Amino acid sequence: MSSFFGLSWRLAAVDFKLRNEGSYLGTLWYFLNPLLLFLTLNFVFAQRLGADIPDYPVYLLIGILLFNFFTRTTLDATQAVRESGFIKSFTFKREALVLSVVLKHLMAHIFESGLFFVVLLLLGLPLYSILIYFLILFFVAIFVFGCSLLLAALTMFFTDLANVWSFFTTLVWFATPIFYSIEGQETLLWVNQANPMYYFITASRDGILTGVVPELQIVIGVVLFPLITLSLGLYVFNALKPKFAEMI
Amino acid sequence: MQRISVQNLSKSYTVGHKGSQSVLDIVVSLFTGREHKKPLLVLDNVSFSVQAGEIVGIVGKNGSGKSTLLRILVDILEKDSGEVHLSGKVVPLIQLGDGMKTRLTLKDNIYLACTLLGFSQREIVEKFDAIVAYAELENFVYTKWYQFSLGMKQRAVFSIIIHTEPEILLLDEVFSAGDESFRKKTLTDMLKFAHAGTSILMVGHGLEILEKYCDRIIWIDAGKVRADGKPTEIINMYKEHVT
Ligand SMILES: Nc1ncnc2c1ncn2[C@@H]1O[C@H](COP(=O)(O)OP(=O)(O)OP(=O)(O)O)[C@@H](O)[C@H]1O
Ligand SMILES: [Mg+2]
Repeated sequence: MSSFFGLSWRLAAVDFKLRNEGSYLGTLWYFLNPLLLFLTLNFVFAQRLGADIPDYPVYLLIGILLFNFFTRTTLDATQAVRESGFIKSFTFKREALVLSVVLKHLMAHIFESGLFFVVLLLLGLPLYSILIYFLILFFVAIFVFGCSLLLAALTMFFTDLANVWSFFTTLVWFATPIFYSIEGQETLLWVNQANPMYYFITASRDGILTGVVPELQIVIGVVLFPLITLSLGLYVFNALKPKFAEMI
Repeated sequence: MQRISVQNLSKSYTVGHKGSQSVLDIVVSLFTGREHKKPLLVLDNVSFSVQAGEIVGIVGKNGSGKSTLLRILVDILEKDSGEVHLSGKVVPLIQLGDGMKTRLTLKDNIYLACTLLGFSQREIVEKFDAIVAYAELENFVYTKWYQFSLGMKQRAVFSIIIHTEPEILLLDEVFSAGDESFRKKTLTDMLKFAHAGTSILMVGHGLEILEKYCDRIIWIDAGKVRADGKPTEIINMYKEHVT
């Protein structure tokens, strides 16, 4: 088990190194992307859509950072096994390829949101809000790991799944209340009952912005979606993995 | 003591126009009917065994199923039917160089490969110098993988494998690019390993080497064991067949 985590970490570190080969400025892109998106959306929407939302910039940023973590990781995970040169030469637990992708993006996310939290702490945010956030993030990571296992395995059999997934996540991005408030929109609220990201983002905002414990229904979603997704992901990945080496 | 035992092993691949389908293909095939796929039998009722300390060579034409066989032995590929039993620590060297990251240094690649082979961080740190020294690549620790020659890569890869203390060693065409001196050194070490009880299964096209170093040769032809016996005998049969 420890060697499984050791391997996942090593693979994550290798990937990080490769991406930023020779230039640690490369890491800056991890920030710039969400930062620019944030600035743009804030500029466009703060006056109208966001006018009725208290602390709109923070509200917006939480949504962007969490959703970004989800899309980046899952999209990257579609290629985790397919692009791995190792599976035809080594016998190791294939799940490590997927976990490494999650770990890599989780670190990047903690780094990004860490900076953001430092600012919020200076502005007087209580420390326990941040602890609550990391508790939620733990569940988000499990959810993302479950999705990633599914995607990595299925992409071996459906080559263009990444395209489908990329389109799908764009749809979910618009359906999730990230840059707008869902209050009063009955249909959308109804649709979002089935959207795990809605639960994670809502709970995080409750914890950080208002400092209240989220409604029971939200808490249940935050715990249940990850458990279901992870079980499904592990099951499907396990069932398909004997065929992986044959497909590439 | 028996280290490898393979009984009635069969394996077929499913081949169509392509290995996997795209989601769009599936949508289209709802209208046009499914693509025709047929199984390709690559290993057909293969049986053999290898004793501790034995060096066994495998020969056969391109595409006869040799690499597939090795991959099944280490569970990289799934078998269709038959029995495979291995006893001892198995270390495969099957196109390992292909898996290395071209943009990483030798050092990073060694760390990565060793982790994939199941070493702990501490073990790697302990063995690192010995691995580099054995490969005679001390001056290239921070050179990137793509900047190495084929033979240098093989040295590095072989050196890693040697330091894993294997009890069963599966080698797929590892002596094709190393130079004469390195080949001699590694083959001498293989004999040492065999003396200590390691079983070695060696796939290769270098018939002289196989003839000289193996205790036995298995000839695989179109997925079947065509012959299994004394090196000189089998190699001569094989040569006759090929020419
Ligand atoms: N992933 C795969 N999917 C379908 N067919 C495959 C796959 N891998 C190998 N084959 C087929 O299986 C057969 C045996 O291949 P294999 O790689 O085992 O041959 P080999 O004996 O190692 O040949 P060589 O001497 O060229 O290395 C070949 O006909 C090949 O086309
Ligand atoms: Mg081969």
